[in-house]
Amino acid sequence: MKMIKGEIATGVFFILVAVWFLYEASKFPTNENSVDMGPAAFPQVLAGLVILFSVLLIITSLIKRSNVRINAKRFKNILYSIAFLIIYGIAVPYIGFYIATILFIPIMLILAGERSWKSIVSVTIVFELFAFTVFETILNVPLP
Amino acid sequence: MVENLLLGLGEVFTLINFLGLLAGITIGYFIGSMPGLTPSIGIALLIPFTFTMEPVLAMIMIVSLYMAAEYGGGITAILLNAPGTPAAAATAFDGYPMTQNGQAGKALTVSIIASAIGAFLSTILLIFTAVPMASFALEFGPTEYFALAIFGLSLVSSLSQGSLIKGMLSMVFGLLVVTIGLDPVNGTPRFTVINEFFEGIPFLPALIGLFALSEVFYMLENVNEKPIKLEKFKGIGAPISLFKKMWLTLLRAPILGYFIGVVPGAGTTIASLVSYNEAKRVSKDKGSFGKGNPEGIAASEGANNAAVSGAFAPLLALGIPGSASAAIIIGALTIQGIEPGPLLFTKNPEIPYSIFATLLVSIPIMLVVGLGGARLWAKVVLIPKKILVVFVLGICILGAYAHSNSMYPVWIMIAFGILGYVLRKVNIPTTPMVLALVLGYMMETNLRRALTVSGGDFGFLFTRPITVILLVLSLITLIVPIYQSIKSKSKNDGIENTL
Repeated sequence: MKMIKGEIATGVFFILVAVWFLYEASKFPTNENSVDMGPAAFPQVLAGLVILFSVLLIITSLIKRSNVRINAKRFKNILYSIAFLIIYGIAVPYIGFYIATILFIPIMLILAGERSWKSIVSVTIVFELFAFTVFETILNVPLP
Repeated sequence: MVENLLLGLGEVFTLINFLGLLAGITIGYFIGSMPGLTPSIGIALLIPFTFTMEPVLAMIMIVSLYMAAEYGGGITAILLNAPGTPAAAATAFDGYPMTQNGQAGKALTVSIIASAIGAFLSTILLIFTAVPMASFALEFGPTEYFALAIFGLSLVSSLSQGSLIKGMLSMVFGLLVVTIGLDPVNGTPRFTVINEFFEGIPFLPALIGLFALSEVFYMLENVNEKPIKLEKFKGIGAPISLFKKMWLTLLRAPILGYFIGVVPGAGTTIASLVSYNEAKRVSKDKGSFGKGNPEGIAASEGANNAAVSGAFAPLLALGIPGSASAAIIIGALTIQGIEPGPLLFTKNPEIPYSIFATLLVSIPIMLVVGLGGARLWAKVVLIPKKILVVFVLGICILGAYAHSNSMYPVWIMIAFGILGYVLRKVNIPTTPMVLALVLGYMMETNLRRALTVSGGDFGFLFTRPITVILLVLSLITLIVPIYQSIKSKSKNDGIENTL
């Protein structure tokens, strides 16, 4: 993907988010008879600034017409990693931390390119022990 | 003050605190040596594990980690031309050539001793300047705090590496995100689409995501890179005469580094680069810099360690960060219920004085660990990236979870991690967003308080002297880096034209 597309896409994303903030802020109750600027003031000004800078970003990006590509090796792999990370996050409250992690770490290691079963198993065990020791013993904080 | 210092030393030498100090140093060295793991990431990952600890122990571990990481960065910079921390980049300029000349042992010795001198001198400076700064800061009212927050935020331009638009975008977005939660003045819920948002966006998980998790994604890109080869080197040691020759640099670098560290936003990296350039500029032997002049190492390492103490000065005295890592530490203190700022010295003196004591006590320990274990620390780069990546990922998740025993901060971390990765891909800096997350609340709350006091009149921005000075400084801090980058761009064009 070319850098321009990335910059423009980011700019657009920020504009959309800022517009949402503006919309929500307009619904805030305003203070009559008070010297305070009210809860909506800061968010609105800031959202406006976000839109301003996003627009500037898009404009400068178009003007520069840079041909630089975004460097993203193994991008598919990273997308899978993110996807599994999200699946992991959803799974933990249901099947518990330790079980989810036993499944998750090998998947992530394989995605990272690790081939040796010995490594995969030992890293998983080390990590589970690490998590267990630090949390249950030292911190006295239960994991889900 | 002496009683307080003794109090601090007493804290450090209790068994559990001392063990914490040793642990912090060990972890710090490891993180510092490892290229790709910066002290900021290390601190961000350590902090959640310190929640259930006493604040003093937590601070001791964090401080020793921070300092040790800056020591460790020089090791891999020298041996492998792969600086473990950004601030060690200048160390590699002369350190690696020295290794190539077979003088690795000498280089490492210079690096570690210069770091120790840097740490020592800067800690003395810190002890003697922090308290007066704090007393001065007690004169501050809401208008001054507002101006201070603005000053902290004005550093965005020096952190934006050229594209102010991108830096500002990052920063104002961060400020916008900070408004989620309850309105600070009248408690109106703002943007609370889900229940958890009532408490706002938790700072630390967001930070772990922005720094550490995005780094994990970056590492995933590069897992197939071959590990760097590690050359053997002969013993540690350098003649005392070498140090005598460099005494001016050994003194100048820490002082320069300390004051740069004090300036909010200018941290260890800028300190080491400025110090290196200064040493080169005043040297009678400029040509040798970059080819293996140990003075370059001394300048860089002396300054980057000094900047660590420097960053603590505004943190403790004013409550604003002197560096990105300091910003994270402020977040940690706030979570522990401790408010950094001038009252810290009166309400919780054990915190700043334990920090002073930690800085002092750790110096000899780090000297020994560094000199004795340099070979070991260099080996960290041999850990296969694939395994390291997953481990760091796991620690990110654990750390985020530890924040509030729920999955909410983990999701925040994941969201900010993805955001951080995307932003870094399009060269939008993430540090301004961190600044915003730390200072946004201070900025809004104090402006509105000041307005309430003044009855809606903005005049105080122009009448109160401290406020005016801070605002002018903010303007300068904002504009100077822009001016400098414009100047250097035209200079570069000039060179290209003449060639």
